Amino acid sequence: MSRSEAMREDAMRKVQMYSFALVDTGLFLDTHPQNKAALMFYDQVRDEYAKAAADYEERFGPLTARNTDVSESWKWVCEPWPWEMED
Amino acid sequence: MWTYDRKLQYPVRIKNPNPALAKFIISQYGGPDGEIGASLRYLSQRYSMPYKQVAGILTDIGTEEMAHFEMVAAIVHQLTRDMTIEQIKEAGFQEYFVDHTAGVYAQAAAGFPFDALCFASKGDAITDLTEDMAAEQKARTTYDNILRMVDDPDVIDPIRFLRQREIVHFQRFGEALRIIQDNLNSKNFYAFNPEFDMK
Repeated sequence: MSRSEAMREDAMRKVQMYSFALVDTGLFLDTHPQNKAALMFYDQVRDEYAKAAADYEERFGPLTARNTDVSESWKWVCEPWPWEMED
Repeated sequence: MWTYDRKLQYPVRIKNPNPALAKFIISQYGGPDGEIGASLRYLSQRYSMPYKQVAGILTDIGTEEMAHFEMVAAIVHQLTRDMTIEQIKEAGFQEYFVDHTAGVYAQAAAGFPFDALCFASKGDAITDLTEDMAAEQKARTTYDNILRMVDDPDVIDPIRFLRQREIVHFQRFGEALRIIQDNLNSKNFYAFNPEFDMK
């Protein structure tokens, strides 16, 4: 794996980690909507996710079509897709 | 509606093609207890669900299942790309190959195509949540059976993640069933169906 691939993977791991924490905590909150600790944790992880996602998108391309840079061309379809192993 | 996030929920990086594994792992894509069936089951059940919290859990788990069928498809894709005709024959993958080449197709391990008969939407809150709890256990059993037959650590790792999610979903559905029961008359919550009788 090249150095840039390793950096991309590292940035993606952070996005996946925070995103997963949000999914799992979200399910817990669905059935425990008053749980203060879970609410605080969700709020905290949401900030971490936003930072990790912004960092990834700035360096390696859009995570959502809506966040695609349109200054030159439609980069949404230029990057590898997640199932291609480069994730 | 939904938007696409350009990432897998959990990484799938399989180095070596192995159609013999793809042959049965495909069942968790389009088989009777697979991820597509799970997603459609929960997302279909939510429309007539009168309790907001329970409709929420059906929406959120149904959505997470989409991330899971993408992961299973990625596993199948990575196990079948770059495979040779020799590997196809050796693995007994000819039947799949002749119909779908190395494309991903929703079918069970035994070869039958995805069938909506395998997912239930009964329109009764207690019935549906009981079904969902069983569905999560059936998927967990399928992943256990898959893990008994896989020796590639690249495959084992994401399968273990998916297996673990079935257990968490089972727990959440158990809580959802309790919410339904608490909402109904505690003396006899089988007396009526809140999705039909309580207008």
